[in-house]
Amino acid sequence: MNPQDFEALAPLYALDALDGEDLALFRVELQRSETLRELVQEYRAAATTLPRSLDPVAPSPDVKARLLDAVAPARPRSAPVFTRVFWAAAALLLFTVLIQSLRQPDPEKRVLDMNGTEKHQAVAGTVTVSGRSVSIAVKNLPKLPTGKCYQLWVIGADGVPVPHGTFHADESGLVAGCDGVEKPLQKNNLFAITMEPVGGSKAPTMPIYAVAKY
Amino acid sequence: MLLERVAGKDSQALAELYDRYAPVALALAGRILGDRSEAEDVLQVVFTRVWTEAGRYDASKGSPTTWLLSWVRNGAIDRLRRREALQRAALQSADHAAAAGHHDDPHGHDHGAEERERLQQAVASLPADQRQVIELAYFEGLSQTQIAQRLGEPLGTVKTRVRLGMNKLRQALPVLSGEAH
Repeated sequence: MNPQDFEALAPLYALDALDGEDLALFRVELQRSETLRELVQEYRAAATTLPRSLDPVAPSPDVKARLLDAVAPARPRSAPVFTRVFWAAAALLLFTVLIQSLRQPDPEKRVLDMNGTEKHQAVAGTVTVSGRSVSIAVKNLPKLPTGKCYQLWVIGADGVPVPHGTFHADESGLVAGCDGVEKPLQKNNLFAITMEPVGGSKAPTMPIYAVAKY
Repeated sequence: MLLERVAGKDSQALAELYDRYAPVALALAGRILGDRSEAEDVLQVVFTRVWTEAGRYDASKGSPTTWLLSWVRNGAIDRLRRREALQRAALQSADHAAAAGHHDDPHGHDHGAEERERLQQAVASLPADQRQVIELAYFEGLSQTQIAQRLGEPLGTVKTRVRLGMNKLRQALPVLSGEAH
């Protein structure tokens, strides 16, 4: 291929549409050619014409609320237990009522509280289940040692943990991501998070850091 | 500057970034997934990732808009493929995204309407066969070979249509405004 050939492939690469030998050759050339890299950037910017031409869609207010809650630093634990429990319950009730009144009904979607286990009580977050799609947002998990990741498990009535997605935490211990489940979830299925070698495990390594009940 | 503040763990900056980009990000995810609920899940995951990884943003590799929308697109296409792999229901019509778009702007105004109209004109001005192949690649994540198979066209024809169409979009692209540097 000559430089003109690669330039002709740049728009396809910018759209992630190159494959096969074209892709292999293009990647090699891309490492070498600054001009080609700049051209790809221009085409990637041009591709944003497509989403930016769509009519914008206002998200449900609870999306932003969940986002900001997930990134908020852990609250200090100085308040008396009764006060904390009372205000937490009141806030949860108010939040629930507000969300119920604002959001569109989605009979499939459920947001589950994910709580830390006994030795990891600061860990907290949510598991959002919509059909067979699962999203997690959990904060205050311990920093991962090199070569480790967090892994999500689904534990059914038979008690057998089924491995799912692996995730990495940021410096604040926040883990977020999404995955899918192959079988429909059943009442009392459990979600659990463990620390595993990068790439995940077929059987969970103890301890469990957080759990949520479906 | 906004992304730098997010990288510095300024949650107010994240809220501002969200307000600025979430509507177009949700439109994109909804266009790809055809499902508002799943699109909102992608939105939350992407903005949570922005919080975690804003420090890795490299302005020399593209604008914040390109960077953020590529995450939304990749996240939505990943979910789309997972859904297909799980043999879930066939994709609903992309019209669902438009139906989901009937919600009012929470701020009651739309500063980007004029620019969006120009962008819509640029897309609409593409010949239908060029627009089709670009949309199959961008919104459905199909490779050039898959597009050729889908359309029953020679691979060379697909390449030519993509190149011609993308060149037109590149030439028509207005100067970006409102970037979140």
